[in-house]
Amino acid sequence: MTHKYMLIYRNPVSTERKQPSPSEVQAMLATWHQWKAANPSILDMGDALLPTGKALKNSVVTDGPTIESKELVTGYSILQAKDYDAAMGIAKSCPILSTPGASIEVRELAGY
Amino acid sequence: MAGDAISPLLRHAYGRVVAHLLREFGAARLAQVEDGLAQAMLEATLAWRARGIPENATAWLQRAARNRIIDELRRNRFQGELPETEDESQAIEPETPSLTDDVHDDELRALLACASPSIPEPSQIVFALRTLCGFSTREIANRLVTSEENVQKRWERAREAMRTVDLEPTGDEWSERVESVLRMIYVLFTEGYFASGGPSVLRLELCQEALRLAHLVAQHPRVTTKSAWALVALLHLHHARRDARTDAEGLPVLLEAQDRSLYRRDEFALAMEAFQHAGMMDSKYHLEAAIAAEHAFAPTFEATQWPAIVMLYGRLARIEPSPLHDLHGAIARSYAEGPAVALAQLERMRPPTWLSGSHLWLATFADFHRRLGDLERARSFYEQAIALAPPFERAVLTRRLASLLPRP
Repeated sequence: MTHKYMLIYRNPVSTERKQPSPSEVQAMLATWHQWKAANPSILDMGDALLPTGKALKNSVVTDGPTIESKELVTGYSILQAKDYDAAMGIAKSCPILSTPGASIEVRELAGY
Repeated sequence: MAGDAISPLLRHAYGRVVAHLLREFGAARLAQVEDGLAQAMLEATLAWRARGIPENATAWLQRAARNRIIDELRRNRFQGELPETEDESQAIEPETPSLTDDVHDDELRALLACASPSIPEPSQIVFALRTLCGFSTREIANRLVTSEENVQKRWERAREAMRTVDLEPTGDEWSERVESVLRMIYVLFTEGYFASGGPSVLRLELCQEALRLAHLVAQHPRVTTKSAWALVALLHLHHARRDARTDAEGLPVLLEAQDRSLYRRDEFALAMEAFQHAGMMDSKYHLEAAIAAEHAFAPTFEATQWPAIVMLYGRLARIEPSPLHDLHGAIARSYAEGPAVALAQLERMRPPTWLSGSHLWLATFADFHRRLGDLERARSFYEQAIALAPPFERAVLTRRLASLLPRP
Protein backbone atom coordinates (compact mmCIF):
# COMPACT_ATOMS: atom_id res chain seq x y z
CA MET A 1 0.00 0.00 0.00
CA THR A 2 1.54 3.27 -1.01
CA HIS A 3 0.60 6.72 0.05
CA LYS A 4 0.92 10.04 -1.69
CA TYR A 5 2.80 12.90 -0.15
CA MET A 6 3.04 16.51 -1.02
CA LEU A 7 6.34 18.33 -0.57
CA ILE A 8 5.65 21.98 0.13
CA TYR A 9 8.66 24.20 -0.49
CA ARG A 10 9.30 27.29 1.56
CA ASN A 11 11.96 29.87 0.99
CA PRO A 12 12.86 32.86 3.11
CA VAL A 13 11.65 36.18 1.77
CA SER A 14 14.65 38.23 0.92
CA THR A 15 15.18 41.03 -1.48
CA GLU A 16 18.93 40.67 -1.21
CA ARG A 17 18.86 37.36 -2.98
CA LYS A 18 21.79 36.93 -5.27
CA GLN A 19 20.75 36.74 -8.90
CA PRO A 20 21.96 33.57 -10.55
CA SER A 21 24.02 33.66 -13.73
CA PRO A 22 22.80 31.67 -16.74
CA SER A 23 25.29 28.86 -16.05
CA GLU A 24 24.19 28.68 -12.45
CA VAL A 25 20.56 28.48 -13.52
CA GLN A 26 21.40 25.70 -15.90
CA ALA A 27 23.33 23.84 -13.22
CA MET A 28 20.45 24.30 -10.80
CA LEU A 29 17.95 22.93 -13.31
CA ALA A 30 20.20 19.96 -13.95
CA THR A 31 20.12 19.01 -10.26
CA TRP A 32 16.31 19.01 -10.34
CA HIS A 33 16.33 16.62 -13.28
CA GLN A 34 18.84 14.37 -11.61
CA TRP A 35 16.60 14.29 -8.57
CA LYS A 36 13.59 13.36 -10.68
CA ALA A 37 15.55 10.73 -12.60
CA ALA A 38 16.90 9.17 -9.40
CA ASN A 39 13.46 8.99 -7.82
CA PRO A 40 10.85 7.46 -10.14
CA SER A 41 8.30 7.65 -7.35
CA ILE A 42 8.01 11.39 -7.85
CA LEU A 43 4.60 11.50 -9.52
CA ASP A 44 4.47 15.18 -10.26
CA MET A 45 7.33 17.62 -10.19
CA GLY A 46 4.66 20.14 -9.44
CA ASP A 47 5.18 23.75 -10.15
CA ALA A 48 6.55 26.93 -8.67
CA LEU A 49 4.54 29.81 -7.33
CA LEU A 50 5.20 33.37 -8.33
CA PRO A 51 6.11 35.61 -5.41
CA THR A 52 3.07 37.86 -5.55
CA GLY A 53 -0.59 37.03 -5.25
CA LYS A 54 -3.82 37.89 -3.51
CA ALA A 55 -5.32 36.86 -0.22
CA LEU A 56 -8.99 36.69 0.76
CA LYS A 57 -10.15 36.82 4.34
CA ASN A 58 -13.50 37.90 5.72
CA SER A 59 -14.44 39.10 2.25
CA VAL A 60 -11.45 41.41 2.22
CA VAL A 61 -9.03 41.04 -0.65
CA THR A 62 -5.42 41.93 0.09
CA ASP A 63 -2.31 41.93 -2.02
CA GLY A 64 0.28 39.26 -1.74
CA PRO A 65 0.93 36.50 0.68
CA THR A 66 4.17 38.04 1.76
CA ILE A 67 3.19 41.02 3.82
CA GLU A 68 3.83 39.62 7.23
CA SER A 69 5.53 36.31 6.61
CA LYS A 70 9.24 35.72 6.69
CA GLU A 71 8.88 32.67 4.51
CA LEU A 72 7.01 32.12 1.35
CA VAL A 73 5.57 28.96 -0.17
CA THR A 74 7.46 28.82 -3.44
CA GLY A 75 6.36 25.52 -4.92
CA TYR A 76 5.38 21.92 -4.46
CA SER A 77 5.92 18.39 -5.77
CA ILE A 78 3.94 15.18 -5.26
CA LEU A 79 5.45 11.75 -4.74
CA GLN A 80 4.36 8.30 -3.69
CA ALA A 81 6.01 6.28 -0.95
CA LYS A 82 5.19 3.43 1.37
CA ASP A 83 5.53 5.51 4.51
CA TYR A 84 6.75 8.80 5.91
CA ASP A 85 10.28 7.45 6.28
CA ALA A 86 10.52 6.69 2.60
CA ALA A 87 9.00 10.07 1.68
CA MET A 88 11.45 11.87 3.93
CA GLY A 89 14.30 10.00 2.27
CA ILE A 90 13.37 11.51 -1.08
CA ALA A 91 12.70 14.92 0.40
CA LYS A 92 16.20 14.96 1.94
CA SER A 93 17.79 14.87 -1.50
CA CYS A 94 15.55 17.56 -2.94
CA PRO A 95 17.57 20.34 -4.62
CA ILE A 96 15.44 23.05 -3.00
CA LEU A 97 17.50 22.44 0.14
CA SER A 98 20.61 23.83 -1.55
CA THR A 99 19.06 27.30 -1.28
CA PRO A 100 20.00 28.85 2.06
CA GLY A 101 17.10 28.91 4.49
CA ALA A 102 14.82 26.74 2.37
CA SER A 103 12.60 24.17 4.05
CA ILE A 104 10.25 21.39 3.00
CA GLU A 105 7.02 20.50 4.67
CA VAL A 106 6.00 16.91 3.92
CA ARG A 107 2.26 16.16 4.18
CA GLU A 108 0.37 13.02 3.33
CA LEU A 109 -2.52 13.46 0.93
CA ALA A 110 -5.77 12.35 2.57
CA GLY A 111 -6.97 10.67 -0.60
CA TYR A 112 -10.59 11.82 -0.42
CA MET B 1 31.87 23.72 -9.66
CA ALA B 2 29.02 22.29 -11.64
CA GLY B 3 28.04 25.52 -13.35
CA ASP B 4 31.32 25.84 -15.16
CA ALA B 5 31.22 22.74 -17.30
CA ILE B 6 27.72 23.35 -18.49
CA SER B 7 26.69 23.85 -22.11
CA PRO B 8 26.44 27.49 -23.17
CA LEU B 9 22.78 27.18 -24.23
CA LEU B 10 21.35 29.45 -21.60
CA ARG B 11 24.29 31.84 -21.59
CA HIS B 12 23.81 32.50 -25.27
CA ALA B 13 20.07 32.84 -24.87
CA TYR B 14 20.86 35.41 -22.18
CA GLY B 15 23.23 37.31 -24.48
CA ARG B 16 20.68 37.44 -27.27
CA VAL B 17 18.01 38.71 -24.91
CA VAL B 18 20.26 41.46 -23.50
CA ALA B 19 21.13 42.55 -27.01
CA HIS B 20 17.50 42.65 -28.02
CA LEU B 21 16.39 44.54 -24.92
CA LEU B 22 19.21 47.06 -25.23
CA ARG B 23 17.94 47.97 -28.64
CA GLU B 24 14.35 48.07 -27.47
CA PHE B 25 14.94 50.18 -24.37
CA GLY B 26 18.14 51.95 -25.36
CA ALA B 27 21.69 51.30 -24.21
CA ALA B 28 21.36 54.01 -21.56
CA ARG B 29 18.92 51.75 -19.71
CA LEU B 30 21.46 48.96 -19.39
CA ALA B 31 21.02 48.82 -15.62
CA GLN B 32 17.24 48.30 -15.88
CA VAL B 33 17.71 45.74 -18.62
CA GLU B 34 20.16 43.80 -16.46
CA ASP B 35 17.92 43.90 -13.40
CA GLY B 36 14.87 42.89 -15.37
CA LEU B 37 16.68 40.00 -16.93
CA ALA B 38 18.10 38.90 -13.59
CA GLN B 39 14.52 38.79 -12.28
CA ALA B 40 13.48 36.78 -15.30
CA MET B 41 16.34 34.33 -14.72
CA LEU B 42 15.19 33.85 -11.17
CA GLU B 43 11.66 33.17 -12.36
CA ALA B 44 13.05 30.76 -14.92
CA THR B 45 14.77 28.68 -12.26
CA LEU B 46 11.38 28.13 -10.69
CA ALA B 47 9.30 27.79 -13.82
CA TRP B 48 11.62 25.42 -15.63
CA ARG B 49 12.45 23.04 -12.86
CA ALA B 50 9.55 20.72 -13.55
CA ARG B 51 9.78 20.58 -17.32
CA GLY B 52 13.30 21.62 -18.14
CA ILE B 53 14.56 24.44 -20.29
CA PRO B 54 11.99 25.18 -22.99
CA GLU B 55 13.06 25.19 -26.62
CA ASN B 56 12.12 28.81 -26.92
CA ALA B 57 14.11 29.84 -23.84
CA THR B 58 15.14 33.05 -25.57
CA ALA B 59 11.55 34.12 -26.23
CA TRP B 60 10.50 33.10 -22.72
CA LEU B 61 13.26 35.12 -21.06
CA GLN B 62 12.67 38.04 -23.35
CA ARG B 63 8.98 38.20 -22.50
CA ALA B 64 9.55 37.84 -18.77
CA ALA B 65 12.40 40.36 -18.68
CA ARG B 66 10.49 42.85 -20.79
CA ASN B 67 7.57 42.76 -18.36
CA ARG B 68 9.86 43.30 -15.39
CA ILE B 69 11.61 46.21 -17.07
CA ILE B 70 8.35 47.90 -17.97
CA ASP B 71 7.12 47.40 -14.38
CA GLU B 72 10.30 48.98 -13.12
CA LEU B 73 10.19 51.91 -15.52
CA ARG B 74 6.57 52.56 -14.55
CA ARG B 75 7.47 52.52 -10.88
CA ASN B 76 10.37 54.91 -11.40
CA ARG B 77 8.21 57.26 -13.39
CA PHE B 78 5.73 57.49 -10.56
CA GLN B 79 8.57 58.33 -8.26
CA GLY B 80 9.56 61.11 -10.62
CA GLU B 81 12.79 59.50 -11.73
CA LEU B 82 12.00 59.84 -15.39
CA PRO B 83 12.15 63.34 -16.84
CA GLU B 84 8.71 64.90 -16.83
CA THR B 85 8.97 66.02 -20.41
CA GLU B 86 9.25 62.46 -21.56
CA ASP B 87 6.03 61.34 -23.09
CA GLU B 88 4.61 58.32 -21.35
CA SER B 89 4.20 56.26 -24.48
CA GLN B 90 7.78 56.95 -25.45
CA ALA B 91 9.16 56.39 -22.03
CA ILE B 92 7.60 53.04 -21.56
CA GLU B 93 6.32 51.45 -24.69
CA PRO B 94 9.27 50.17 -26.65
CA GLU B 95 9.55 50.90 -30.33
CA THR B 96 8.35 48.17 -32.65
CA PRO B 97 11.26 46.35 -34.15
CA SER B 98 11.61 46.89 -37.86
CA LEU B 99 11.32 43.91 -40.15
CA THR B 100 14.93 43.80 -41.17
CA ASP B 101 16.11 43.50 -37.61
CA ASP B 102 16.82 40.05 -36.35
CA VAL B 103 18.51 38.64 -33.31
CA HIS B 104 21.95 38.70 -34.84
CA ASP B 105 21.55 42.33 -35.75
CA ASP B 106 20.80 43.05 -32.12
CA GLU B 107 23.87 41.18 -30.91
CA LEU B 108 26.02 42.90 -33.46
CA ARG B 109 24.64 46.28 -32.54
CA ALA B 110 25.45 45.66 -28.89
CA LEU B 111 28.90 44.45 -29.88
CA LEU B 112 29.53 47.62 -31.90
CA ALA B 113 28.31 49.76 -29.03
CA CYS B 114 30.56 48.04 -26.55
CA ALA B 115 33.65 48.61 -28.69
CA SER B 116 33.12 52.34 -28.35
CA PRO B 117 36.34 54.33 -27.92
CA SER B 118 34.79 55.90 -24.80
CA ILE B 119 35.06 52.55 -23.00
CA PRO B 120 38.58 51.41 -22.02
CA GLU B 121 39.52 48.10 -23.60
CA PRO B 122 39.63 46.02 -20.40
CA SER B 123 36.10 47.22 -19.70
CA GLN B 124 34.97 46.46 -23.23
CA ILE B 125 35.94 42.84 -22.74
CA VAL B 126 34.15 42.56 -19.42
CA PHE B 127 31.13 44.21 -20.97
CA ALA B 128 31.08 41.79 -23.89
CA LEU B 129 31.55 38.77 -21.63
CA ARG B 130 28.82 39.86 -19.33
CA THR B 131 26.12 41.10 -21.66
CA LEU B 132 26.76 39.14 -24.83
CA CYS B 133 28.22 35.94 -23.48
CA GLY B 134 26.15 35.77 -20.27
CA PHE B 135 28.94 35.26 -17.72
CA SER B 136 28.56 36.44 -14.13
CA THR B 137 31.17 38.63 -12.48
CA ARG B 138 32.62 35.64 -10.66
CA GLU B 139 32.75 33.58 -13.83
CA ILE B 140 34.51 36.38 -15.67
CA ALA B 141 37.02 36.77 -12.83
CA ASN B 142 37.79 33.04 -13.02
CA ARG B 143 38.32 33.19 -16.73
CA LEU B 144 40.37 36.36 -16.87
CA VAL B 145 42.37 35.17 -13.84
CA THR B 146 41.69 38.32 -11.88
CA SER B 147 39.65 39.36 -8.85
CA GLU B 148 35.89 39.81 -8.79
CA GLU B 149 36.39 43.37 -7.58
CA ASN B 150 38.53 44.18 -10.53
CA VAL B 151 35.90 42.77 -12.91
CA GLN B 152 33.21 44.71 -11.10
CA LYS B 153 35.18 47.96 -11.45
CA ARG B 154 35.74 47.42 -15.14
CA TRP B 155 32.07 46.61 -15.54
CA GLU B 156 30.97 49.77 -13.78
CA ARG B 157 33.17 51.85 -16.01
CA ALA B 158 31.58 50.36 -19.08
CA ARG B 159 28.14 50.92 -17.65
CA GLU B 160 28.96 54.51 -16.79
CA ALA B 161 30.08 55.15 -20.35
CA MET B 162 26.90 53.55 -21.65
CA ARG B 163 24.82 55.96 -19.63
CA THR B 164 26.53 59.12 -20.78
CA VAL B 165 27.59 58.55 -24.35
CA ASP B 166 25.63 57.62 -27.41
CA LEU B 167 27.49 54.52 -28.34
CA GLU B 168 25.87 53.73 -31.63
CA PRO B 169 28.32 54.50 -34.37
CA THR B 170 27.14 57.01 -36.94
CA GLY B 171 27.70 56.75 -40.71
CA ASP B 172 31.42 57.26 -41.17
CA GLU B 173 32.38 55.79 -37.81
CA TRP B 174 31.20 52.35 -38.87
CA SER B 175 34.31 50.95 -40.47
CA GLU B 176 36.47 52.30 -37.68
CA ARG B 177 34.14 50.78 -35.10
CA VAL B 178 34.26 47.40 -36.83
CA GLU B 179 38.05 47.58 -36.56
CA SER B 180 37.84 48.12 -32.80
CA VAL B 181 35.33 45.27 -32.50
CA LEU B 182 37.84 43.01 -34.23
CA ARG B 183 40.60 44.22 -31.93
CA MET B 184 38.46 43.55 -28.88
CA ILE B 185 37.59 40.05 -30.10
CA TYR B 186 41.25 39.32 -30.71
CA VAL B 187 42.19 40.49 -27.22
CA LEU B 188 39.41 38.33 -25.80
CA PHE B 189 40.77 35.35 -27.69
CA THR B 190 44.35 35.92 -26.59
CA GLU B 191 43.17 36.26 -22.97
CA GLY B 192 41.97 32.71 -23.30
CA TYR B 193 44.78 31.47 -25.47
CA PHE B 194 47.94 32.87 -23.99
CA ALA B 195 46.99 33.65 -20.40
CA SER B 196 48.94 31.54 -17.99
CA GLY B 197 47.18 30.13 -14.99
CA GLY B 198 43.56 29.36 -14.35
CA PRO B 199 41.88 26.12 -15.36
CA SER B 200 42.37 25.63 -19.09
CA VAL B 201 38.76 24.50 -19.64
CA LEU B 202 37.57 27.92 -18.54
CA ARG B 203 40.05 29.79 -20.66
CA LEU B 204 39.04 27.67 -23.63
CA GLU B 205 35.55 29.09 -23.26
CA LEU B 206 36.93 32.57 -23.88
CA CYS B 207 38.40 31.36 -27.16
CA GLN B 208 35.08 29.83 -28.15
CA GLU B 209 33.20 33.00 -27.31
CA ALA B 210 35.70 35.08 -29.29
CA LEU B 211 35.20 32.79 -32.27
CA ARG B 212 31.44 33.06 -31.98
CA LEU B 213 31.61 36.86 -31.92
CA ALA B 214 34.09 36.95 -34.80
CA HIS B 215 31.70 34.85 -36.88
CA LEU B 216 28.88 37.18 -35.93
CA VAL B 217 30.78 40.11 -37.43
CA ALA B 218 32.16 38.28 -40.44
CA GLN B 219 28.87 36.75 -41.49
CA HIS B 220 26.87 39.92 -41.38
CA PRO B 221 26.60 41.33 -44.91
CA ARG B 222 26.48 44.97 -43.85
CA VAL B 223 29.26 44.91 -41.30
CA THR B 224 31.70 42.32 -42.55
CA THR B 225 35.10 43.25 -43.91
CA LYS B 226 37.93 41.26 -45.39
CA SER B 227 39.81 41.79 -42.13
CA ALA B 228 36.93 40.25 -40.20
CA TRP B 229 37.21 37.07 -42.26
CA ALA B 230 40.98 37.08 -41.85
CA LEU B 231 40.48 37.28 -38.08
CA VAL B 232 38.08 34.32 -38.22
CA ALA B 233 40.71 32.35 -40.15
CA LEU B 234 43.42 33.34 -37.68
CA LEU B 235 41.38 32.34 -34.62
CA HIS B 236 40.41 28.99 -36.13
CA LEU B 237 44.03 28.24 -37.01
CA HIS B 238 45.16 28.92 -33.44
CA HIS B 239 42.19 27.22 -31.84
CA ALA B 240 42.60 24.07 -33.97
CA ARG B 241 45.96 23.50 -32.27
CA ARG B 242 44.60 23.66 -28.73
CA ASP B 243 45.00 19.96 -27.86
CA ALA B 244 48.66 19.95 -28.82
CA ARG B 245 49.57 23.11 -26.93
CA THR B 246 49.50 21.72 -23.42
CA ASP B 247 50.73 18.44 -22.01
CA ALA B 248 48.93 16.11 -19.62
CA GLU B 249 49.90 18.33 -16.69
CA GLY B 250 48.58 21.43 -18.41
CA LEU B 251 52.02 22.87 -19.08
CA PRO B 252 52.62 24.54 -22.43
CA VAL B 253 54.28 22.47 -25.14
CA LEU B 254 56.66 24.38 -27.41
CA LEU B 255 55.78 24.46 -31.09
CA GLU B 256 58.75 22.27 -32.00
CA ALA B 257 57.60 19.54 -29.61
CA GLN B 258 53.89 19.57 -30.44
CA ASP B 259 52.23 16.39 -31.65
CA ARG B 260 50.83 17.64 -34.93
CA SER B 261 48.47 14.69 -35.24
CA LEU B 262 46.47 16.37 -32.48
CA TYR B 263 45.74 19.42 -34.64
CA ARG B 264 42.07 19.49 -35.59
CA ARG B 265 41.90 19.18 -39.35
CA ASP B 266 38.19 19.90 -39.49
CA GLU B 267 38.82 23.28 -37.93
CA PHE B 268 41.63 23.99 -40.39
CA ALA B 269 38.96 23.51 -43.05
CA LEU B 270 36.88 26.26 -41.44
CA ALA B 271 39.93 28.50 -41.47
CA MET B 272 40.48 27.87 -45.17
CA GLU B 273 36.88 28.70 -45.89
CA ALA B 274 37.28 31.99 -44.04
CA PHE B 275 40.49 32.65 -46.01
CA GLN B 276 38.52 32.47 -49.24
CA HIS B 277 36.22 35.25 -48.06
CA ALA B 278 39.17 37.24 -46.76
CA GLY B 279 40.92 37.45 -50.09
CA MET B 280 44.44 38.78 -50.40
CA MET B 281 45.56 41.93 -48.69
CA ASP B 282 48.11 43.09 -46.15
CA SER B 283 46.02 43.66 -43.05
CA LYS B 284 47.37 42.72 -39.64
CA TYR B 285 44.95 39.81 -39.48
CA HIS B 286 45.70 38.59 -43.00
CA LEU B 287 49.41 38.48 -42.27
CA GLU B 288 49.06 36.89 -38.84
CA ALA B 289 46.67 34.33 -40.30
CA ALA B 290 49.13 33.59 -43.10
CA ILE B 291 51.87 33.00 -40.53
CA ALA B 292 49.58 30.78 -38.45
CA ALA B 293 48.71 28.85 -41.62
CA GLU B 294 52.39 28.21 -42.38
CA HIS B 295 52.81 26.71 -38.91
CA ALA B 296 49.56 24.79 -39.00
CA PHE B 297 50.11 23.15 -42.36
CA ALA B 298 53.81 22.37 -42.01
CA PRO B 299 54.12 18.57 -41.76
CA THR B 300 56.89 18.88 -39.15
CA PHE B 301 58.65 21.66 -37.31
CA GLU B 302 61.76 21.17 -39.46
CA ALA B 303 59.80 21.19 -42.72
CA THR B 304 58.19 24.57 -41.90
CA GLN B 305 58.54 27.19 -44.65
CA TRP B 306 60.71 29.45 -42.51
CA PRO B 307 61.76 31.87 -45.27
CA ALA B 308 58.07 32.54 -46.03
CA ILE B 309 57.44 33.26 -42.34
CA VAL B 310 60.42 35.62 -42.17
CA MET B 311 58.99 37.52 -45.13
CA LEU B 312 55.50 37.67 -43.58
CA TYR B 313 56.87 39.08 -40.32
CA GLY B 314 58.70 41.69 -42.36
CA ARG B 315 55.44 42.76 -44.02
CA LEU B 316 53.66 42.72 -40.67
CA ALA B 317 56.33 44.96 -39.14
CA ARG B 318 55.84 47.43 -42.00
CA ILE B 319 52.10 47.87 -41.50
CA GLU B 320 52.23 47.62 -37.72
CA PRO B 321 55.73 48.27 -36.42
CA SER B 322 56.30 46.41 -33.16
CA PRO B 323 59.47 45.08 -31.57
CA LEU B 324 57.52 41.89 -30.85
CA HIS B 325 57.08 41.24 -34.57
CA ASP B 326 60.81 41.85 -34.99
CA LEU B 327 61.56 39.37 -32.22
CA HIS B 328 59.33 36.73 -33.77
CA GLY B 329 60.77 37.49 -37.18
CA ALA B 330 64.26 36.93 -35.79
CA ILE B 331 63.20 33.58 -34.32
CA ALA B 332 61.83 32.51 -37.71
CA ARG B 333 65.06 33.71 -39.29
CA SER B 334 67.12 31.58 -36.92
CA TYR B 335 65.51 28.53 -38.51
CA ALA B 336 65.67 29.90 -42.05
CA GLU B 337 69.24 31.21 -42.02
CA GLY B 338 70.75 29.95 -38.78
CA PRO B 339 70.93 31.27 -35.23
CA ALA B 340 74.11 33.32 -35.82
CA VAL B 341 72.37 35.60 -38.35
CA ALA B 342 69.33 35.93 -36.12
CA LEU B 343 71.42 36.66 -33.05
CA ALA B 344 73.24 39.41 -34.91
CA GLN B 345 69.87 40.87 -35.91
CA LEU B 346 68.66 40.87 -32.30
CA GLU B 347 71.88 42.45 -31.08
CA ARG B 348 71.39 45.31 -33.55
CA MET B 349 67.87 45.93 -32.24
CA ARG B 350 67.18 48.59 -29.65
CA PRO B 351 64.20 47.07 -27.88
CA PRO B 352 62.11 49.06 -25.41
CA THR B 353 62.76 48.16 -21.79
CA TRP B 354 59.49 46.25 -21.39
CA LEU B 355 60.78 43.85 -24.00
CA SER B 356 64.49 43.75 -23.18
CA GLY B 357 63.59 43.07 -19.55
CA SER B 358 61.09 40.33 -20.37
CA HIS B 359 61.53 36.58 -20.22
CA LEU B 360 60.62 36.37 -23.93
CA TRP B 361 63.59 38.40 -25.02
CA LEU B 362 66.04 36.68 -22.66
CA ALA B 363 64.75 33.20 -23.47
CA THR B 364 65.26 33.87 -27.17
CA PHE B 365 68.88 34.86 -26.54
CA ALA B 366 69.29 31.76 -24.39
CA ASP B 367 67.89 29.61 -27.15
CA PHE B 368 70.12 31.08 -29.87
CA HIS B 369 73.25 30.59 -27.73
CA ARG B 370 72.21 27.04 -26.91
CA ARG B 371 71.83 26.22 -30.59
CA LEU B 372 75.20 27.84 -31.32
CA GLY B 373 76.78 25.57 -28.72
CA ASP B 374 77.65 28.37 -26.28
CA LEU B 375 76.21 26.63 -23.25
CA GLU B 376 77.75 29.00 -20.71
CA ARG B 377 75.92 32.03 -22.12
CA ALA B 378 72.81 30.02 -22.77
CA ARG B 379 72.69 28.97 -19.14
CA SER B 380 73.09 32.52 -17.89
CA PHE B 381 70.29 33.82 -20.17
CA TYR B 382 67.98 30.95 -19.18
CA GLU B 383 68.57 31.76 -15.53
CA GLN B 384 67.70 35.42 -16.08
CA ALA B 385 64.63 34.49 -18.12
CA ILE B 386 63.41 32.01 -15.49
CA ALA B 387 63.62 34.66 -12.81
CA LEU B 388 61.25 36.90 -14.80
CA ALA B 389 58.88 34.34 -16.31
CA PRO B 390 55.30 33.68 -15.15
CA PRO B 391 54.84 30.22 -13.57
CA PHE B 392 53.89 28.22 -16.68
CA GLU B 393 56.66 29.55 -18.86
CA ARG B 394 59.05 29.15 -15.96
CA ALA B 395 58.39 25.42 -15.92
CA VAL B 396 59.18 25.12 -19.62
CA LEU B 397 62.36 27.20 -19.35
CA THR B 398 63.51 25.28 -16.29
CA ARG B 399 63.13 22.06 -18.25
CA ARG B 400 65.21 23.59 -21.05
CA LEU B 401 67.91 24.68 -18.64
CA ALA B 402 68.02 21.24 -17.05
CA SER B 403 68.58 19.67 -20.47
CA LEU B 404 71.76 21.76 -20.85
CA LEU B 405 73.36 20.37 -17.73
CA PRO B 406 75.57 17.34 -18.13
CA ARG B 407 73.63 14.21 -17.25
CA PRO B 408 74.76 12.49 -14.10
